[in-house]
Amino acid sequence: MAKRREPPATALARYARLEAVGDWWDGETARPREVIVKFGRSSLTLYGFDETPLAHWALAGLRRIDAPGEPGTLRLTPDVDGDERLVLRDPEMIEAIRAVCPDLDRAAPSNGSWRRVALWAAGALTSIALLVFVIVPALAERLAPMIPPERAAALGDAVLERIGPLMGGGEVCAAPAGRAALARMTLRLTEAAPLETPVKVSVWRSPTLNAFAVPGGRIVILSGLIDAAEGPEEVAAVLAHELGHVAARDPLRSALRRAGTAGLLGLFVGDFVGGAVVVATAEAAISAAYSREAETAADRYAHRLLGEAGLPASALAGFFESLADRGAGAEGFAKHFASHPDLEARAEAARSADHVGDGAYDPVLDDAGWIALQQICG
Amino acid sequence: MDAAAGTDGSREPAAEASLRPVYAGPPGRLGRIAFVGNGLTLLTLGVWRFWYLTRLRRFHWSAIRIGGEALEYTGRGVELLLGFLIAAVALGLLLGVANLALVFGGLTAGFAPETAFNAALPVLLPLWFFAGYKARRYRAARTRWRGLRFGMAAGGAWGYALRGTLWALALVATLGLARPAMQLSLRRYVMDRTFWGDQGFVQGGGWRALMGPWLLLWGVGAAGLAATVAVGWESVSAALEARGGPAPPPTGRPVTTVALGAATVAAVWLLWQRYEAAAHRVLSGGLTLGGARFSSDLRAGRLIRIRLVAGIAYALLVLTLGLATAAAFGFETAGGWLTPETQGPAVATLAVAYALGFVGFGVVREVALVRPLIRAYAGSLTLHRAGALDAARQRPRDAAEEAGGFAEALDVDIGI
Repeated sequence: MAKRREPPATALARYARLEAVGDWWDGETARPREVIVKFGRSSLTLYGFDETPLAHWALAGLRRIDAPGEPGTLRLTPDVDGDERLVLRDPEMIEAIRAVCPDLDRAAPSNGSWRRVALWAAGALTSIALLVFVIVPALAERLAPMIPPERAAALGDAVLERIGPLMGGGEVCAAPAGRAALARMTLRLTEAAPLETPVKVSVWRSPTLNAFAVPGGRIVILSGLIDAAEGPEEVAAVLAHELGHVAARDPLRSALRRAGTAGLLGLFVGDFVGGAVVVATAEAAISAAYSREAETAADRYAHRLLGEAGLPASALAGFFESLADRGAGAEGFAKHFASHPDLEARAEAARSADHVGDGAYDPVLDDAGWIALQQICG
Repeated sequence: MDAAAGTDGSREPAAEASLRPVYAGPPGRLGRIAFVGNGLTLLTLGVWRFWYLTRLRRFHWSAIRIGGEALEYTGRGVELLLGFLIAAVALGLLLGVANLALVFGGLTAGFAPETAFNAALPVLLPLWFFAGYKARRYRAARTRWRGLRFGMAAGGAWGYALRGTLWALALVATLGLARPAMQLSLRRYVMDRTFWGDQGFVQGGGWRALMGPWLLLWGVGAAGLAATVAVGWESVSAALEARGGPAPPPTGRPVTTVALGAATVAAVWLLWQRYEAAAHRVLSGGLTLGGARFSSDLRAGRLIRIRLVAGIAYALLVLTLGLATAAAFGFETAGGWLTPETQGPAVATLAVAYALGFVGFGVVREVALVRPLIRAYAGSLTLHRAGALDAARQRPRDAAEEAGGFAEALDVDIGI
């Protein structure tokens, strides 16, 4: 602070003869009283116009009421949270009071309100964490199997309609020979481990190397994945992984879980635009944590299913390795936001689950079938 | 420093004297408060907003002087934060479970997926009204005039939520025609439970006085909409049929359609201002406090002027920011769009533009819109027979240390 403050006692002596008129509200009635204000020994004394002292306010207890819309006015209360008010407009008197009352702006003691804030903040975080990580997932788990299959299928179709435009238009590839090959591949896997939900597998034209499952047993393989695969077994391995999601009803559970947590985080951050970024980040982190768990489970399902179908689980590893070669993995901090686990670890797990090894196996498609599948998009 | 105006006005009104509130908050000071408040809100990811709101209220309250004596706001930011946290716990649990249950129910019962996922919204409706009452009660308890506290009856919030929800359903059922009656009924519920010191407010007046302006607004809106649809049907259906195919030659009268639509929007907007002013006059005219009564002479022209000027200020801000950002981009990306070298500067430019825009909008909103509106509403009032209030006495404290939080969480209107 640039201005040096005199010791209050000296300052007080300087203002001893100062007096000013002010309005005094007693805090009990609505009638103001004009008073004369003077400094006493260590107090502010309010006198009536007939010189009778009306009140002595200790200087140490004086507090200013913050009134930014009322410049040039000092509004005082004799103690924190008091009901009485003294309104001064005399500039000299205002300056004098500011000089001798260092505590004028000291906040009211918090009455433990900060402790309550801390408690409730902890409570809020706990209840939200409980909701996001325990209650909603548990409910989603219970409720997902209770949704009738045809309703789940309708939801899945609606989801496909939504994400089609985001994935290169969602153009379905339907060359008859390719579809027949895809159906044979699907049958080989589903016969090995029948599912409760009927499955509907289709191929979309897209350069992206990916496949996904939506509610109602709908599985979509993007043509980029077939183009990159080194053999039909790699495609079958990915399909087995997606069948794992269908068997666990992951897409439906995740839709329900999202419904439960939607808007929840927005509640905390408030309604300003930057909040959207924070919310999106947090939601991505939360949902990625779930989906990594689901992916690992789907991998394990695929290992088992491939084994039962007499196919090499190591084909899944081949697919992960070509993904990693394209730089699709996430490193370092980004891992927390990656929806899929570490590719190398997944490839490793697939290899160690392989029971076929270098031995002979019945290929999932013959050469003609594999060519037909590769040309499903024409 | 802006001069403080309007501190005149006799301090001991005669029994029959009429008082007119004066709004004397200096805009420069408000601009500074808004600048700092929005900046800190941005930096703290929203946490500062409770303190910013408190500061704003202190400003506006202390700027309003009735009979020379300013209103006082004694609320604190930490109280708003506390209320918000409490509300967040309750709302979070409710929202999560209710959302999930409704979506599940909707899906199982065979509603379209989109409908099912939006079914949770009506759950918020009673809470929204509940929040409005709570927030009002908190504001009242933290407001003083002439040394006496305002206050509201405790325990009215659920009744208000029930009424509000029923009225909202009635509003939908009558296609909006019930609005004046809804407005007056809810206002009566609130004002009849509001006190200043030991004096109670009583809201009188009838909604029929508001029916004229409302019917005109409603009729013009409905007729305009019908005319626009009738004229534009041909163009719209032609465009819909041709979706995905080659663009059809223009049919119908697209220019007339757009002109009709724009004219309807403009007319409804103007009539809305007229209705708002009329509502303020009718509601204020029916309001009494102890032996005193209120009246208002708010004109629609004033509201229209304020909102047009604010609109121009917003437009200028957007234009300036847009040009500045474009200029910065042109400079940074002269060699092409988002190469690795230009990516960093481009993101930095956008971040700065966003921050400036956020703070700029906040300042323009407070200075060009909120302040003039509060000034117009408060300044239009007259308090008649103010002398009848001289006998008023203090009321006991409202101990609630939080409240107001539901409104924060639900984004209920948080003005005066």
